[in-house]
This record gives sequence, structure tokens and C-alpha cells, in this order.
Amino acid sequence: MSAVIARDLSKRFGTLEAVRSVSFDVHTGECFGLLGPNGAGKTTTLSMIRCTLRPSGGQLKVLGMDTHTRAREIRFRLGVVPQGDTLDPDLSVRQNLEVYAGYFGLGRGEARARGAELLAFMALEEKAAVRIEQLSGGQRRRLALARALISDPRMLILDEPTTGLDPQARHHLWQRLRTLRGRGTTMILCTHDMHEAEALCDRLAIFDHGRILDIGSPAELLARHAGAEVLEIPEAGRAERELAQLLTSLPADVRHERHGELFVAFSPRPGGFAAPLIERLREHGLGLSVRRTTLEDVFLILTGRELRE
Amino acid sequence: MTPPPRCPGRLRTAVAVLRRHIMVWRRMFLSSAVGSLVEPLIYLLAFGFGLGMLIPDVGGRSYLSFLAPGLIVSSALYAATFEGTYGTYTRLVPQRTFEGMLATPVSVAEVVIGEALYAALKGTFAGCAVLLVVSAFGLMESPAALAVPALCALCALGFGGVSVLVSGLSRSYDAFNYYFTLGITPVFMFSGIFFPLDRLPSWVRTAAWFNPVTHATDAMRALCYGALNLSILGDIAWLLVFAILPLPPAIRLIRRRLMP
Repeated sequence: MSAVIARDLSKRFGTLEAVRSVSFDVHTGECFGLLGPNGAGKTTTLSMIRCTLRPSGGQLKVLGMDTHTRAREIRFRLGVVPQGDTLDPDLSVRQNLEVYAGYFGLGRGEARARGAELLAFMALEEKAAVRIEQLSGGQRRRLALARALISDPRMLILDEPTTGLDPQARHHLWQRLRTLRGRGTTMILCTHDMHEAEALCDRLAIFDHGRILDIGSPAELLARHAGAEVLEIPEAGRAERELAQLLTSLPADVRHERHGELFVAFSPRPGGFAAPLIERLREHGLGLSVRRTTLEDVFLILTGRELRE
Repeated sequence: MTPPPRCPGRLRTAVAVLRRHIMVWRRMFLSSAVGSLVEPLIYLLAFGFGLGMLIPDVGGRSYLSFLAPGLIVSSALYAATFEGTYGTYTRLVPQRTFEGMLATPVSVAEVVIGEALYAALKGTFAGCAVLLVVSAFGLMESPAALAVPALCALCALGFGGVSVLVSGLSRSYDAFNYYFTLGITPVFMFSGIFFPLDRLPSWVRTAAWFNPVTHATDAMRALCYGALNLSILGDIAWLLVFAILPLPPAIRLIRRRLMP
């Protein structure tokens, strides 16, 4: 069964088409990533799934329910970690959890028990009585995740959950998310952090200009768009002649691009760039690197290198 | 632990929202209580005794006794209005409290009704604080004054609702200046709280009939003096309409803000 089914889903704000007829499925139990530059339509799509925006067109079913007619029931089954911070600054850490539990209809005793359990799970027990403004960025995000889990949701929606966190806090949060995925919680993760996508997502949809450019597992996307290895020469202009030579000797299945001073070539096979060739370029004093491809390469190939708003 | 099996109803979530507000209010209860008691006391002393010395009896009563019921009304209306403007707007925009609520089964209707009820609660509390002060001055003449809290609630709910509606329209705190100077101050001044309206030009009296504060003040005098007659029913009917009417447009406006 699919946790989310979107067919020709679109959203217009006046004349702006934020989401243009996208179709995708999120399978139950998987972590599905929405990747894309700012303004690509990720958050808008997420908002439609969590029933805070009404689609302008198309069909959207979440947990088997239509978002038009059963928004409250859908929201009842979802846990949401929104972009930025919507923690309640008028309340303490523990009160944030218990008041939230109340919104889901949990009784006081159950709210307290569940709140205590989640404070422990997110390592926030010592902060229970503290006001929100006294928390660090990482503690806030942990509390936001704890709050999203208060109703034991069937599906989690995470909108840039680790933006702005230091590596320790980020990895701590990722570890908790992996634990949840291990327990079978479906997740939709919106991010433009490629490491995060690689670390957590089973499948990804790459968004740009309101459309989905491709959907697949990280491995599939790498194979389809970037191949196995990438050769980068950041200051290619310093040795144009040698570069021209290199181009004639590259295997036919290696694609290459030039962006100003930057030269990039992608090989579908490991070892696609012959060692003698690389050595010759190095002798000419060119800084270059050959490395495994990453999702970031896929991202840049599909969405381009131009700066976005 | 198993989650509750069924999505809570709207009444349940509205109560949860109101409970959140009361939890917050409890924390600043003392400052809010002191304000609610001291401010009317100052008004009472300044206007009642100060101005009262210059003014002969109004309709057979001392000016202090004429003024007291209106002070209960104005306290309720201002407390509700402040909560529905500055308080609601703070939760709507900078704190994103409502956005947080909408990630749960709580819908915009419950958010708005919760705001209006909270404003009404604060208004009722402020009105009752004045009731205590004026009772201490021996200005309550009838056991009918026991119904004062209910009247405060009705009046405060109306002004709470209108204020939430104004918050839904506002793009910044500055916009509230217009609402206070062009809306609240005139209805406060031309309501019969400080002076009787019956000697004013007829068009002023007609305009005052549309003013909810006029009806609240008339009804409040009837309760405080024990001068109950049928006209209080008209006033209460008017206030009931005023309490309900702003809510649907307020819900629409806030929904447009939160779910474009």
C-alpha cells in the first residue's frame, strides 16, 4: 500500500505556478526525500500532503484518505517537523509536549507519560522545565521531533529538520530518524542537504521549477545521471592544450561539461579515467580530483549550476 | 503506547486550544490581576471623586454611582480587545503558534474560536475585578449584580471576536493604531459611560444605538441598580448578535492568512 499517492498535483498562487502537475507515490515504511533548490515547490508539496494548503488541481491521497474531504483525520495521523520553529515560546519544554498531546485528544495522564518517554528518547529530560528560548538550536529541533512524535504518528513529515545544526546535533537527529524508520514509520523528508538525503532516504524525487525531474533510489539516480566517477578540474583554463588532448583520449561513454573555468567529466564505470592521462595533467600543475559521484552531482546535473533566488 | 484510536472532535480540540491559553495566562496571572484592579481604581478616584465634585447628580445618583457600571464594561472591553489584537497577532505572526496548531487535528475554526474565548475570558476577569472594587465602595445596589460576570463575558466575546478579525486583516502591529483611535476610542467615549446620551443631538443618539458599548452600559446599569425591565432583553439580544457576528469572517480571514 502507498502512504501517499499524488497524481497531476498542482498548486497556483495567483499567477505563480508553485507545483505543476507532479505525480509520485510514497511507499509505506520508506523514507522518501524531496530534493530541489529553493523555490522548487518542495515545501508547497509538503504543505498539501499535510493538509495546510489546498491543491489547485490533481488528486492527492494520504494514508488512503482524500486531502479534500478528510484533512483533520489525515492531520491526526501525521507528525510534522516544520521548517524553522513553531515551538510554543509561552510554554516550557514539557508543556510544549503535553499541550500538543491535548490537540491530538490525548488525556492528561497519557500526555504526561508519553511526554516523559519522548523527552528521554530525545535526550531532553534535563531541560523539561526550561523555557524554549533557553534551548540551543539542536535542542529545539529535538524538541520539534519529540513533539511530532507525541501522537505516535503513522507518517512523519520533516521539512529541513537539521538546517543550521552543528555536525554532532545533525548526526544525533539522523540516528533518531533511522531508529524511527527501523520501527516502520513512513517518512517524507524535504531537504537541500545532499548528505542528509544520502544518509536517510530510500528514494528521492528531485524537484525544480515546480516539476519532478526524476524519482528513484540514490543508487538509481547516480547510475542514470552521474555514473560512477567524476573528474573535476577547477582551473581548466591554465592548460587548455592538455585539456584538448585529454578530450580526444576520453572513452566515448564519458560525458563532459565546461562551466567557465571548471571542467567536469562523468564516467559510467569505475576506473573510467586512465591513470597515465591523469598523471600527465598533474605534471602540468593542474589541480584535479577523481572521486566517486554523489547525489550532489546528480542534483547539479539535473537542476543546473545557475544561482537561485 | 497506542495512540487514541479516533480523531478528536472539534469541541475537544477547541477546549485543548483554550486550555493552552489558560496555562499561559496562569504564569502571568499576578501582573494581569494587579493591572485589572489598579487601573479601574485610578479611574474611579480620578473621574468619580475628581470630576464628580463638579458634577451634580446624574438622574438622581452620584456621579460615582453613575460611572461605576460603565467602568466595568470598559475594563472588560479593553482587556478583550488587547488580547484579540496584540495577543492574537503575536501568536499569528511572530510566534507562529497557530501554524504549530495546524500540524495537529486543530483546524482554523477552533484556533479562532479559542482566541475569541480567551479574549472573552480575560475581559470577564477584568470586568469582575472592577466589580469587586466598586462593590467595596458600596456602589452595587442590587443582587442582580451577580449577573455582571455573564454580561461582561458577552460584551468581551464580541470585542474579542472583532479584535481577532482585525488581527486577521493587519499586516503589522502599527495597524492596530487605526483600530484603537478610529474604532475603540469613539465607541468607548460615545456610549453613555461618562455622560448620558439623551441630551445629545438625535443623530448622535441614533449612531449610539448601533454602538454595542451603549447596550452593554445600559444593561450593566440595569443590573447594578437593580432597575430591571424589558429593555435589558433588547440590549442582551443586540450583544448576542454582536458576539456571534464577527466570528465567521474572522475564521475566513485567519484561514486565508494561514492556508493561502
